[in-house]
Amino acid sequence: MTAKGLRLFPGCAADGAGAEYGRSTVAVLDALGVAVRVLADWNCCGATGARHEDRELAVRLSARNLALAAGEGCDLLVNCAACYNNLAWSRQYLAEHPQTWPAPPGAARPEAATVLHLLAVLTGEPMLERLAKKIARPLAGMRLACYYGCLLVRPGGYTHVDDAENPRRLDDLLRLCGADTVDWSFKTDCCGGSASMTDNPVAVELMARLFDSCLQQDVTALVTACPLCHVNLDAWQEKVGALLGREVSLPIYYFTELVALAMDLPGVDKWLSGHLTDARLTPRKCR
Amino acid sequence: MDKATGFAACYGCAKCTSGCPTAHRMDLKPHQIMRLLQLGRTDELLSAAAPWRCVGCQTCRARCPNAIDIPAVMDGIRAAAQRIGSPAGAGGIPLFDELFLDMIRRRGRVNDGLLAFRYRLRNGRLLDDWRIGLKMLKAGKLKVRTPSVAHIQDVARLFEPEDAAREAVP
Repeated sequence: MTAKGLRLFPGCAADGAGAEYGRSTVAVLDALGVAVRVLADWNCCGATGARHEDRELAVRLSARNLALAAGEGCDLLVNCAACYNNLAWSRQYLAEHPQTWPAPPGAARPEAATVLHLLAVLTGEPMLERLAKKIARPLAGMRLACYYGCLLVRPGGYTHVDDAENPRRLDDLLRLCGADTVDWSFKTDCCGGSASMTDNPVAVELMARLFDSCLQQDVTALVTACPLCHVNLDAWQEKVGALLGREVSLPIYYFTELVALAMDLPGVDKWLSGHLTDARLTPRKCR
Repeated sequence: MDKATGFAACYGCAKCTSGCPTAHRMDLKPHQIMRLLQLGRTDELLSAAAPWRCVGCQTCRARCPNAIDIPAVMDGIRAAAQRIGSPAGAGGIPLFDELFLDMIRRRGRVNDGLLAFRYRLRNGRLLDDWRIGLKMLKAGKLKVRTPSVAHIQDVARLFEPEDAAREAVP
């Protein structure tokens, strides 16, 4: 956690197709007494498109956001794994190559703002203690596959949320919330990212490996901390099922939705009804 | 190719290739690409499909004992291949990136639903996976409007570094 104030970087996905992630993030932070305001006039971090074109363009897009937060004396809190990765990498790059973004007159230096991922903040000691006292509806009966994906944990170094090969923070958090989580081999394997648009068979193949692995563990749902992973895993299950030769219908939750559920916060049912694969709470999914 | 990626340090252990989730679809494997770079055989790299199969998952980079930024090598080869023509293995990626960046330049933010629609419209595959689009529409996941960044000129300037530099040194 940080002594400075926090500005939330919403990102395009958690502000668009992943709106449930944005809403549940704010609800959980509110309930835990973490004061955050959305970063005013934020812009897209560039995702993968900017890096493909020109890596320094990606750095400049992030630099503007970092400087906006730094100008308010704040650090940046990010819930999207892809935005987090871009912003954290750019901050490191800017420290080594400050001339990449010559600050306009009056602007703060972007490196002054630290980049924090929501999962790291919520799994810090003080937050876990606070959360433990607020569990009102433990997630008993849920058997979860915690999925970390790529950009939250790799390459390591500037991404220091968790161990790059065997991350555990999502598992620890959801166990604290009363759920059971399984060991599985694909928790840091790629879902295909934007290849679901540009090279769909590859993405479906990668997703099929994930589903195949976690379904063997008889899980009731998969949990993610990234809106891009979420939209992929939520939307393409029919094609994955066709590839695996079995019906696949697995609820995909944002971890914030489940933390909110465990705290019995209002709004959860509404968020879950916005998923493409049925994620509504039934006796099977949450006894 | 950008020396900052550190490809010269590769000694061919092939950990990158072993962990790569798309290596089986690549005509040249990641460790072979490092070797060709060291040998200066760039022609073979520019016509390869492999860099376009990279999904940017960072597994190779995380595991490389020499800390080579292999995804950056892939991005660099893609950009160089695009500068000299239209690379065969690229598929829809250049179009997708172009529409994506265009949206950032003009609005500062990306409307994911609109981007998907424009992409499918331009590549002539509007009806692909239409049922998923319909489901997203029904679930309220497609926003009609994404508010633009208020200081959009500040964002547009990020695309022109020379202009940005002039601003900083009056």
